[in-house]
Amino acid sequence: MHYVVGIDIGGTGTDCVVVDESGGVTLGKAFSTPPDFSVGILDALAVAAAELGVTRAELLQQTTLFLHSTTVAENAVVDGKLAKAGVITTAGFEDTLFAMRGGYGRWSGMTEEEKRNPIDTEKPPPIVPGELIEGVDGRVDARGEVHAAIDEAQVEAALRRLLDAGVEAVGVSLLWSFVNPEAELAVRRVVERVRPDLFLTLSHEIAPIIGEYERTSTVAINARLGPVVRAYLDNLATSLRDEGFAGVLLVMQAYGGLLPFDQAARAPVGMIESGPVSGLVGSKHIGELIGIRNIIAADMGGTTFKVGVVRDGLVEYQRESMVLRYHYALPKMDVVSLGLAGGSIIAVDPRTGVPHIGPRSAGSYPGPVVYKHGGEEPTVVDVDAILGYLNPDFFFGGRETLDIELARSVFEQKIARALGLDVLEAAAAVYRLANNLFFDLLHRTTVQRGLDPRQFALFSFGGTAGMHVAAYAEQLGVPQIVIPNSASVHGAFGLITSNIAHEDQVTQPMQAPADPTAVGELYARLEERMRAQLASEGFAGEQVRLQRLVDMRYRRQVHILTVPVDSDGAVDDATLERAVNRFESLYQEKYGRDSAYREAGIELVSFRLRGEGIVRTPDFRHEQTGEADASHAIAKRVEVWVAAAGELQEVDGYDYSKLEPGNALEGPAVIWTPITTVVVAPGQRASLDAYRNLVIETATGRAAAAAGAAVAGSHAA
Amino acid sequence: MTPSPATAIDPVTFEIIRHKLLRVTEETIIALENVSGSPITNEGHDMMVSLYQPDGELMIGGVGFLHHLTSAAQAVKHIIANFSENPGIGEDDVYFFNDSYTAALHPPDVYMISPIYHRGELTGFVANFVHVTDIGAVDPGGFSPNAQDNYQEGFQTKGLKIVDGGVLRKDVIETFLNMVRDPGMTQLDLKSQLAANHVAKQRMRQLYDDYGVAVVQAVSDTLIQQSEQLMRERLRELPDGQWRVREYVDVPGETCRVELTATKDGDTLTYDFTGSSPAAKLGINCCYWATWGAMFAPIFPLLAWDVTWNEGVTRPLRLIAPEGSLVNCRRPAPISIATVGTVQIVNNLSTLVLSKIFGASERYRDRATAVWHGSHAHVETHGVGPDGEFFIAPLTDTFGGAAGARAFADGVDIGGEIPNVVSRWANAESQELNTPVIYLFRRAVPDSGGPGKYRGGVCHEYAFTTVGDGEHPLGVVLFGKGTRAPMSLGVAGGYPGSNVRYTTFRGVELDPLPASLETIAAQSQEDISWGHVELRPGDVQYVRFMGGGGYGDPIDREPEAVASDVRRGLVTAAAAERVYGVVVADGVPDLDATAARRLAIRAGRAGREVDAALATRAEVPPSGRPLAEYLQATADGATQCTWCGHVVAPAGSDWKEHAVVVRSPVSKAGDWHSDDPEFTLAESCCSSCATVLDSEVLWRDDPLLRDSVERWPDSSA
Repeated sequence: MHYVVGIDIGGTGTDCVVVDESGGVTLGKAFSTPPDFSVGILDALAVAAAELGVTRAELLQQTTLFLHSTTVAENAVVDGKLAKAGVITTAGFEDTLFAMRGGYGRWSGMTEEEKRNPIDTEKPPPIVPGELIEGVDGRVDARGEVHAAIDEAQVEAALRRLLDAGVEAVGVSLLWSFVNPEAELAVRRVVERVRPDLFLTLSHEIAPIIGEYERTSTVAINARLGPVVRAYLDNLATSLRDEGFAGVLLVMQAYGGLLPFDQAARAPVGMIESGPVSGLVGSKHIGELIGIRNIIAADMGGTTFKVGVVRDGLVEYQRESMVLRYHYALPKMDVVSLGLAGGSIIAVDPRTGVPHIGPRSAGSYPGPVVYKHGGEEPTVVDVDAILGYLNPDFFFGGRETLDIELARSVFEQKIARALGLDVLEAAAAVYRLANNLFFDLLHRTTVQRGLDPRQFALFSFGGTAGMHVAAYAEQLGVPQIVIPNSASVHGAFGLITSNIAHEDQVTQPMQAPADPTAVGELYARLEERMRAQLASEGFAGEQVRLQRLVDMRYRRQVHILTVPVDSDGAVDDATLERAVNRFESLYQEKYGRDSAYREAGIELVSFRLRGEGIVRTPDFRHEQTGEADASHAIAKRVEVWVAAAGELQEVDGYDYSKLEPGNALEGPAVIWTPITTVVVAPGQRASLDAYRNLVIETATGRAAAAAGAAVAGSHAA
Repeated sequence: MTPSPATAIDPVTFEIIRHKLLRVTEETIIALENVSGSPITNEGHDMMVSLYQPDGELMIGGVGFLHHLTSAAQAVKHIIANFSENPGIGEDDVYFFNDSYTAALHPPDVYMISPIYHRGELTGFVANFVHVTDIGAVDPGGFSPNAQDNYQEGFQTKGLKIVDGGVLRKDVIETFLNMVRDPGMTQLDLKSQLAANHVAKQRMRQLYDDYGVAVVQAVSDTLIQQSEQLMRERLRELPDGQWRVREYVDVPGETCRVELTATKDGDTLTYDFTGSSPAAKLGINCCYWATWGAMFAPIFPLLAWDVTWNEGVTRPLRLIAPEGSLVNCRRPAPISIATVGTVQIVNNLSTLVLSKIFGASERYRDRATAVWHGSHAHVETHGVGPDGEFFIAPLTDTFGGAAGARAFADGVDIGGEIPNVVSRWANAESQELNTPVIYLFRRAVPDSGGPGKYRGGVCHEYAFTTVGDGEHPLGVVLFGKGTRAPMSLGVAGGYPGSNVRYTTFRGVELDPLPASLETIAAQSQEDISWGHVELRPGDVQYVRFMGGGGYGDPIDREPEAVASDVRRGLVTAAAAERVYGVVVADGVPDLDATAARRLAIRAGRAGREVDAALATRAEVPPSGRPLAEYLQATADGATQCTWCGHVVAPAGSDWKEHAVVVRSPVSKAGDWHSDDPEFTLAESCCSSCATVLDSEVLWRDDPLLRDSVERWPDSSA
């Protein structure tokens, strides 16, 4: 038997999905174990292996592809745990990172509202401080012509100053290096002579784009991440190999595809926020399966709340990739990540007596009090426990224990007394506050971007989302909540629905009509390289999918549109003409009939090849839908807080594993899944679809549908 | 389902439509960026997009240069009033408009105005502007330092139908392009504007389809009413009184004065420019609507930051601009340099006077800011490009900017400007791409930020040379102001930022390329700030900007903040000691030496010994009637210093008559500040502790400015 394994590490949980040769899926989940995350990975693998009836070593020995996404990159940036790195740049441009293109560094990444209030905006401190930036002589112009040569002795002196200052990595960004890389390559020669093991990033390799600020910033972030991420990946690879893993290790990238281990280690900046992206890729996949094209995907785990949007079946890319307030020039799918979730710590401000949630988080260690991992500060999850939502029999399949009494007493001492309320009243108040905050976050990422939630389904993931989604979905006005079957391990699920994706390109501007022979030769060269790359990762024949693309623009214009070239083999005049026509119609569609400046001519700028290695997508058996009656799945009656009623009520508690497709139930009720509790509010109706996704129709949605039906009825009359 | 317009709009729909309107302007700006070929538009954001009501009133203002929001409203109103019958305003028509004497700011800032129709009904307008590459004036690029009157400033129209029923009029566009120097690029500018309006119309039609015209219109109308109401409420929360500010514009052979008295009375605010100089001989003048727009550019982000930007914001405001003065000139006074001339002066004065009003308000004191980026030291280049074609290329360095200090924090270094909340410079590589220039450096300038308790942001300096063939020189058009008169003025005692400098170096040693001002070795050099300069191989043009103004007395600045500035190279050790009174040794403040130095500075101001006890700020009980950072009115109407508690002036007299006024050359504030003998820095100090209570810049024997606060909200005074 051969396996494909997907492992996604979040702030709290480590999720595992194993797909076997026949497409069968097995899930595993464990707590994340910072700082050495490999322990949590091995734990999650052990859970999955046990489910499969094999040992962990057997599982790993038979794993051909190991797909991985991790938060290590963004955590390092957000927590400020970056390596000390230096930057070597063209003399005269040492202030590029400090200046951040003027006001840009101050307003970019702000909301439209925030941009309109410049008084309250600041720039972040430069990602690399001035004292670690060295300018060197040497200058190339826009055509690659050398006006002043680089001086290797001067470079060496600069490098030694940086090394003396204690840098662990160096980024190099010289003007016009992406046109003429010789000077950057000269710097590499010096580094290889002086300190061959130094982590080194050259701007023309990682970000071969015009614009020294964005290129330098990319290089600087990458250099500061490099040693941290390399240590992490080396440790992971060693742990896996020690257990017998001999397959290919691939790492998720924020553009939505996977890269081989060694390439990922050289360009860790591409891994930033790739975990949430893999979740979004998974949501899109589920949406395709069940026919939903407008999705708000909200993932609430222990430490962060992440929101992404699929609109008309497409994931949107961020216009400018940023981490914190720092720019980088790699494409990234748009996911907003906010530090408020189940593990967020609750505190009462002693001066005002007002309760606050976050921004500090307990993560998985020490974690919420109720988990008994040593947490001593009350969190949102503890409030959920006090309100009766957590069930020790189901939590982590009954493998982890919960101490609800401890949570109650800590919450009473630290919060309820300070608020002058009894425990239940205080917990209900904090629960309401939390739900309002989650609503605000969703509102900011949807309504404030001009998206109408009434036209979207809310996909809800993560270990703590189920206990809150019923409340904020109503406030947001979505008609439907979908809690996918994969919700417990959604990031890992996204991994196995991703493909290995590489992109290669040659920039060689040509005027249209271009010479088809020359273009054909370019693509042939790119394809040879791509097939070799994919073969080294174990993909051949039908598992390889190639797509030719070309970047075009009207001359004198900066804006580029990328269009497909519809030929696999020989390129002729007609092929190129079709590409040009497609460019013109795309342009016209976007900008109107008279917007094109045709007289300037059309330029084919870059020839791109996208290569994908197709990972087998698991087969979700389409189960027969059965009776609506769900009473057979009731595990017991249980007393929980019903927010809409403002009191504790005894409601039916359902065992998710016993529900069958087609079963439906009315709120108020709770449904226990192996990782979370799903609260169904009064007026809501939950049902299980053919893929075992829980679909909840909201009260708002049902009322609107009824009103719509009534209107339709009156029209009919 | 389209909601019935008769029913009240639910708050969610209201909020969604409000945000969608903002999104339309955002997406339109992106289209403008994409289609434009010019770095000044797509990287510098010298542009604007707004939506207008069917009667021309501002429906929703986008970002970009904010003085255009209201001026384009006037242009739309003009087109409605004059062309509705002949030639008509039909569906898919587009009007070209750029006449300043009717509405616009200066000839190259072209408004492209499109009516928006939905199912045959006129529902509104969209207007945008970009600074087009050329307008056919006496000087290339649209700024005409050599124009003697308006008739030499190029093509100007009060409305010309350029697109008729969706068809671009070939006769019109060819006539226009026949008049400009770089018809290719200028045509691309126009195309980008047409494309942008196309996108706006598409989005608006979608909005009408989704929600109905009546609902969208009702939301727009309500938003305008709300904004007016919120503005009036805010004005009522501010004190009543009169505040005066003044700036000077220095152009060859002339120093002009712009005087502004702001009267805040209840819920109205009047700007009165009586006392300003007659129109200048050179093109820095403003027409009425330029002044109107220029006063609003800071009002939107400073006073109305949290209010929807529309016509409602403008209603509580009045403007008095004497006819024939340089804020309301009569044709044929030249106006092509208005935007970087008197428009910017009015921006600065509006910022300053609002800050004075905020300074007299307990509630809004933290809104106060010194002047940001006082002078656009803008440069236009032209010549023959590598392709043999004539080109015009503005350099975008002036969009780097420098923020003024605020009442609670330093100004952001190289931090932008107030009237354009999204400005930024283009990368040097983008500038070099299509223009035969090479940037030698772009550096932060130490000591350029206006000294104060909070320091103004530092500005930058840059230099470039030509890589032309020597046969065709690189033409440089200059129209600089602020080489003598400081324009980034401070507030609440803060000093101004540095002055502008332009230097042309000839016969420069270029191997290696100089990477700083200090390393330029030239055979000759000349400071030229106005007119034409030609650069040949071996020539270098250098430009330095203005740092932001300071806030509060420089000797009130935290010694550690000054030391940090010294460590980061933003303030020199010499200036730290001389201006801030902070002695820094090895990057650390020497507190004893600092205390002694600061006491000596107080003694120098007072002209006598000052008691050491007065060097520390005393606990002066707030009277509830603040006047500024260090001033308040007492219950009986006297003026009190809030540093030491000394009553500076009795009730009924102007406090400056009782203050110690120290007059010095402006270069007291720093080595890069003006040493022109016609200008003085006048510091009005407390006669007891010698704290600088107010500082201002005076030309020749101009009188000190007098303010009077008549009434504070919730007080009987």
